[in-house]
Amino acid sequence: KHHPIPTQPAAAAVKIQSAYRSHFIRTLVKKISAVNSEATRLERLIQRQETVDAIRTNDRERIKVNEALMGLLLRLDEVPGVDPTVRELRRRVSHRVVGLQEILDAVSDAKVDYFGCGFLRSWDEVLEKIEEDVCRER
Amino acid sequence: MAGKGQGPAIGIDLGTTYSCVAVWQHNRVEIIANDQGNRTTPSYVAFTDTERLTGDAAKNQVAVNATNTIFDAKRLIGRRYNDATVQSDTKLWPFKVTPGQDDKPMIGVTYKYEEKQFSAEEISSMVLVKMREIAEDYLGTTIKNAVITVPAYFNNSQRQATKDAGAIAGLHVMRIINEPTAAAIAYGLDNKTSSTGEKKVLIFDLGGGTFDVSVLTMEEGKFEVKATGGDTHLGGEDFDDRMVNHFVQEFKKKHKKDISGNPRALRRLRTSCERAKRTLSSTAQTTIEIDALYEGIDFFSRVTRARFEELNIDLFRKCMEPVEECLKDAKIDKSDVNEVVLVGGSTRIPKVRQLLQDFFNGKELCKSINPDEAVAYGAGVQAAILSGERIEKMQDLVLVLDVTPLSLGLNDSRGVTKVFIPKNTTIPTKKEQVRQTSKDNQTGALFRVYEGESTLSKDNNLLGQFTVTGFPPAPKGVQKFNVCFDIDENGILKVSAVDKTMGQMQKITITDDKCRLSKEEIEKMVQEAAKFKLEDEEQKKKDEVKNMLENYAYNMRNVINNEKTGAKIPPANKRKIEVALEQAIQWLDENQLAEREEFEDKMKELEGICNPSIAKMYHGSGSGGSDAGHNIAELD
Repeated sequence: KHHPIPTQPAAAAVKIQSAYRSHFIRTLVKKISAVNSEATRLERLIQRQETVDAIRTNDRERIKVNEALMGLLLRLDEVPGVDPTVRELRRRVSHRVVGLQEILDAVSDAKVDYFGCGFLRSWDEVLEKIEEDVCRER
Repeated sequence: MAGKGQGPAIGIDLGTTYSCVAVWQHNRVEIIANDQGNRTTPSYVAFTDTERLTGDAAKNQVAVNATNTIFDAKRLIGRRYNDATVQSDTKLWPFKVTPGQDDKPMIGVTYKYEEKQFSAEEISSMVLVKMREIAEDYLGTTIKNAVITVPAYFNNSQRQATKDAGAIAGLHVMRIINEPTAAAIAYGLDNKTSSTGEKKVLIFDLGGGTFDVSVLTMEEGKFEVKATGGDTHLGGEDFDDRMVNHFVQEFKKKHKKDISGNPRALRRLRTSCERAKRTLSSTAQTTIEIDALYEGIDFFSRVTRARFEELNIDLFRKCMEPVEECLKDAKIDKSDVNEVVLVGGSTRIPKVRQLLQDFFNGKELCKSINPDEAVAYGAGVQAAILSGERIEKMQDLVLVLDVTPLSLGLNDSRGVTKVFIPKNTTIPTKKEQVRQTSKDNQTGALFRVYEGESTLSKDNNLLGQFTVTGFPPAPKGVQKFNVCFDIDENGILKVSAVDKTMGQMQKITITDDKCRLSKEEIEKMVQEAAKFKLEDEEQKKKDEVKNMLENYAYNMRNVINNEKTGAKIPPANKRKIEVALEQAIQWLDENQLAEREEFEDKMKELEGICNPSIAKMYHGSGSGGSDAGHNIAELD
């Protein structure tokens, strides 16, 4: 397709718009990736045996982790899905955090049934996802 | 004047859910933002195992610490535990409220592993301290004087309790003024010349959780509250509820699943709905996008302004009823209303504005001042005037006079309230009457002070009582008393009775109002507040030291692990530092609650091990000074 040769003001407008759009999307992506790295930190925390013990014995601890995860989701919900790639990125991180919520529930519920297959399966899934993420990043 | 030499005077809107502070500066009112950059601050106080939090910090941790996070203290202040409103409100709060001495409601919390009881005045005083600190941080001076606002319907004990809260906060409360009065002052309505002389104003205040309508008249700076009305539990949150329900239904229809039993999904939905509501005040439609809302389903929907209005139209219409009633009570025709003032965040909703405007036959509404800030704005103006500030734009505005909201009187022998001060009397005021004994051989007289508009005392509100005894028996009517009702400029009432026939000045002033704090109690609370402040400061310092240690340890570890810099340190020293760092980091993890001195000691210990090697390293490469340790701490 041939575009007509843009006049000077039109070219300026295009330039400004593209600069603004890329700035806008960069800010959104930055927001999402900040949440993602925070999710990674919480994931490591949940993996630690001390945390698991604390969550099981102390309701306050469980609420604290739950609240931190909830805060991440609320931050993600704020990001408008203006761009399909932004929306996809947000979707992936949201699902990841919800996965962590489910693990938290499994950890705090499964006081006896620790090695129940439900827990392990979701755990494996999470590990798989982490590996996937790492690969993608590289 | 009162304010000279004590820093500027501030105006504080002490709200149910949010508070706001304003100051007169550079010939205009400035609303002061808090440390989070917000121009309103949540009226929240939280108690944890380690510290006390107020404002945003308290509200942010409410989900983690619900039973020890106190809000809505304004719904308790100056009331008795057995009041119907206190009883019904208590059921809605996650924190404990119990009856204390003289039926005073007390709030129970666990603070630093100890059970503690606080009165509503103390909680409010903590919010007031926060507001004062916000102003002090911004202005860089100490602040002593303040004007605080209260709802127009607040009675004497609620006003007094609010003033007490100010005293506990270490403030000199120059004046307690009515919120609608403050809003009217903010718009300078008292200043606009009017041909009729008397001006009639309707204040429409729809906030987050409460709805107040007031009708005022004013003449030559004198404000009269003619009528008040509203709904103590109607506001923005109810509109959010409607939208949440709507989307729950939509989700059911679309995905055949009910999310109403899932608190997490509902919370995300509610947060998004609140945002959508705000957006819809300026746009015609918006989207709601929530990924993995329920069972992995991504929820995506649109909502138009029209739809939002339809969902809430009955609530919006309900808001117009008190307007009509209020005008009827005030015996004012709606066409005679000179100004209609909007206050409260929910008055941004276009439909609410439109309904109100239609009701007043297309009259322009006063909406140029941010509705969240209008009350504080007016309080700020009033504070400046009271402290003798020269306000050029408002030269004519001398002093705003307030009036008594309710009639005040004494109970007589037939159970009728004999009015001393009729309602809408300009304050300060002082009224005297002579009263006599009603029975033969009476040796004691009971004085019961009531407020309200009913003839029968039992339908009015008992403010307090006292007895005069010790006069000789005599036929009825012989013993006479000179009774004096005195209201100061804050609307606070003092009643005294002087024994006339005996010739001796037996004067008694009401101070033992059941719900009020005594002078000693206030002093005790002031001291306690100072103690809390010290503890808060200590906690802050401790956090700083802890962070410094943490930063130092992590930065040092980065230096050691860095290939370039790490290689310059002799292996033996490196090993030593590594061990020390690991130990310090582990110690930090295990001792988050250690004392300040311990952190400081640990810091010195670590510096003693690390700094010589690091200094040598930098000297070796010739790029650092002797204070290399500090340079390194700033690398982050």
